[in-house]
Amino acid sequence: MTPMSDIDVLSQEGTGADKSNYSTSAYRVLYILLLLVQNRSLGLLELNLLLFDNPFIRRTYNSETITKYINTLRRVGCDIPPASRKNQFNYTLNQNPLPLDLDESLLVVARKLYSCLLAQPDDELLCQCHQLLEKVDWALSDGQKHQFQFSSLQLPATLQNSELMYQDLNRFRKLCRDALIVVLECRAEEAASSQRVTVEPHRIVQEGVHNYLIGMNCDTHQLVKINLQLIARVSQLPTKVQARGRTVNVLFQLSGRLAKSYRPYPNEELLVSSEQPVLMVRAKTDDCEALVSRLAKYGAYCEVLSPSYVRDLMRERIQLLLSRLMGDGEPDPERFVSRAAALAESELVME
Amino acid sequence: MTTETLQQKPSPLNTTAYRIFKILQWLHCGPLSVEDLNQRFLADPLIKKTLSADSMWLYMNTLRMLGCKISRPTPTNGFRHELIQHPFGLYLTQSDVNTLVSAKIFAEKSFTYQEMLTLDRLFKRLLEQSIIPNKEEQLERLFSHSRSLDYEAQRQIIQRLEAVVDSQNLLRIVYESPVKGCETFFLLPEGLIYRRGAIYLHGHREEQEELSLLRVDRIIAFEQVTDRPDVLQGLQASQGQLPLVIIRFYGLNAQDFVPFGLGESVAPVLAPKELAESASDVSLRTRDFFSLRQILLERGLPFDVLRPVAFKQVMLETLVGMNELYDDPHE
Repeated sequence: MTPMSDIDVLSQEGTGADKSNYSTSAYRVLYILLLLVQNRSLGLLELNLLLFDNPFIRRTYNSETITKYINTLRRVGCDIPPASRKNQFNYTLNQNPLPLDLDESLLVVARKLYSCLLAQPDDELLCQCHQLLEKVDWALSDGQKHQFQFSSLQLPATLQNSELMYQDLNRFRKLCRDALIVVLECRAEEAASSQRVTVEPHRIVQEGVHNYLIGMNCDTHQLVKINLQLIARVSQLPTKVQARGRTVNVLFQLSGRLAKSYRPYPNEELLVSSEQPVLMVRAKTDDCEALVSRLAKYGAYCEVLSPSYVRDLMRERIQLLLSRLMGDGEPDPERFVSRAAALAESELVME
Repeated sequence: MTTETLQQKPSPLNTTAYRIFKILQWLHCGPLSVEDLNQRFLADPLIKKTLSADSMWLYMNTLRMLGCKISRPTPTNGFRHELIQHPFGLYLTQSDVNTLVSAKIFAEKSFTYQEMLTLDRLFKRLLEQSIIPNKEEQLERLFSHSRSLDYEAQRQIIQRLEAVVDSQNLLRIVYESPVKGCETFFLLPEGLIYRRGAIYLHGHREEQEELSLLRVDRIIAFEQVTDRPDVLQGLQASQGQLPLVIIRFYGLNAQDFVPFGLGESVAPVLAPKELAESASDVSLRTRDFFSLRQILLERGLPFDVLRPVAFKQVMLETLVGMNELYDDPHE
C-alpha cells in the first residue's frame, strides 16, 4: 500500500491557528500519530518520506528520535507494538487512540447493510463496503467493537482473495476508461498454450462468479468476452479506440409535474429553457439502453430529443409495448387523446 | 531499519507532546475549562503540576496547527474549551465517500424508511468524524449523488406521522403540490415508505382510486379529524377492497421473473399452444397503480393487462401518449 499523507487534511483553515507560535517537537510527535491513523502501519523510511513532505517539518529523523516520539505515543496510551521482524519492522497503530462513538442502532444498521450486500451480485460494492466497515471497526472502542462484531462479517469464500480480485477489476475498468487499444495474452482454458489478441476494451461484466472483459477484436471486428482470470498479460498500445465514444450525450425534455420536481442524476445537467414549464436535461451515459429504460417510466412526461439512435430506441420500445397491448392491432391514437389529456392533469408523478 | 527491539528500558519522553495529547484526550471526552485541565495535569503521575496560561495557549495552538478545531472559552460556553473537530478519527478517502453513495443507493431497495434514516445518521456521523477535506461538500455530495433528501429537519414531523398512522385516524392535510400549489384534503393514512431518496406518506384520498403518495417534506400541516365519520367510513370501505391485478408477460419464463416488490405471485401460462412464445401471468392485489405503471414501462417487456380493464386502458393511454411524442421524428 502506498503511504498516504493528505496535506489538505492538515489545513489550519478555520481552526484559528497561529503558525508562528507552536511547539514544533510536539507537533512532530502528533503528526506521526496522524500519519499512523491514516496509514495504520509505516516503516521508518516511509515515515521519514511523509515527514519530509510536511511543509512544517521538511526533514527526516534518525531511528532514535523516531523511537522517542513513538515511545511518547505509547506512554499516552497508543497501542504501537515494538517494530520487529514479525511486523516487517513497521510501526503499527493497533487501535484508534480517540475512538469513534457510534450508538448501537448505527452499528445494527451497518451490519444489516453488509448482510444485504452479501445477498446481491455486485462483488465490487461488497468488497468496497467490507473495506470501509473494516476501517470503521478499527476506529471503534473495544466495547463497540464487541457490539459491532465485524470479525463475523466475512467476505464469501469466493472473494477471500478480494484485495487481489478487486485490484484486478479496477485495473481492467481503468483500461476501459482509458479507451486505448490493448494487446492481451490469454491462456486457453484447457491448454497450456496462450494466444495474443488485440482488443478495444469496452466494459467489465460479471456473470456467475467470473468477471469478463467485453471488447472488440481489432482483427476480426467481432465482439469478444474474455474471462479476466485467463488474461496473463496486458499491454496498452498508444492508439485510441476507434469505436464511437464511450460516453454519449443524450438530450431529453420533461414536461408537466416532472419538469417542476425533477431531481437530476449526478451525470445530468439541467438546461435553461424558454419554453416553460418544459425542462431540458442533458445526460451523459455509456449505457443508452439503461437510460432509455429509466426515461420510459416517466411516460408521456419525457421525450428523448437526441441523438436520433437513442430516440429510435425509445420509439421501438413504445411501439413494441403498444402493439402487444393492443393485441397486435394498429394503434388508434384518436380514441385515447382526450383521456390522456385528462390523465395528465390528474396523475401523480413522483420525482 | 530500527533497532528498537533491542532496547529494554523506556526511552526518554517528549513531555510537551505528552501534555498536548493528554489535553486532546480529555477534550475528546467533553468541554473543559483551563482550571479543569490543570486539575487533571496535577493528578497525572507524569506531570504533577499545573500549567501557565501561556503554555496552555501554546498547546492549544499546536493542536490547531494539526487541524483540531477548539472553541475559545467565552461566557456562553462556561469559559470552557470545546473540541469541535479533530483529524485523528476515521480516515476516509474520496473513494470511501463514493462507496457511501453507492451503498445508500443500494440500501434503498431493501431498507425501510426507518432503516434509511438510521443509515443516513450513520453515514453523516462517519463523515463528521472523519479526516476528509471539505466535509460540508462531501455531505452534500452524499445526498445529491444518491439523489436523496436529508430528513434531519423533518424528524419531528415524521414522528408525528408515525403516531397518526398507528392510530388509523382520518387526517386533514395541507400539501404543497409542485403543480397545483397549496391544497387541502382528507387522507386515510396507511404508512410511510422510502422511495427514490424520499419518504412518502401513502394512503387513501377522497375521490381517488389510486393509492396517494405524498412526499413528507411537502406536507405543510396536518391534523387528525374526528368529526367527519362520513369521509372516514367511505375511505375505510375502499381501503379494504384491493383490486386484483393480472399482468401477462410475453417471452418470459416464470422462473426468470424479477419481482416487483408489490407482493405479487407469478405462474406460467398454462395454454402455451395459443401463444407462439412462452408467457407468464403475474397477479397481485394493489392500488399502487402509479408504481406498477412505472415498473411496466421501465422493464420494457411486452405485456398485456388482463385485469382490471381500467388499468389496461390507463396503460394504453400512457403508451399512446408516449407514441405521439415520436410520431414526427426529429432528424
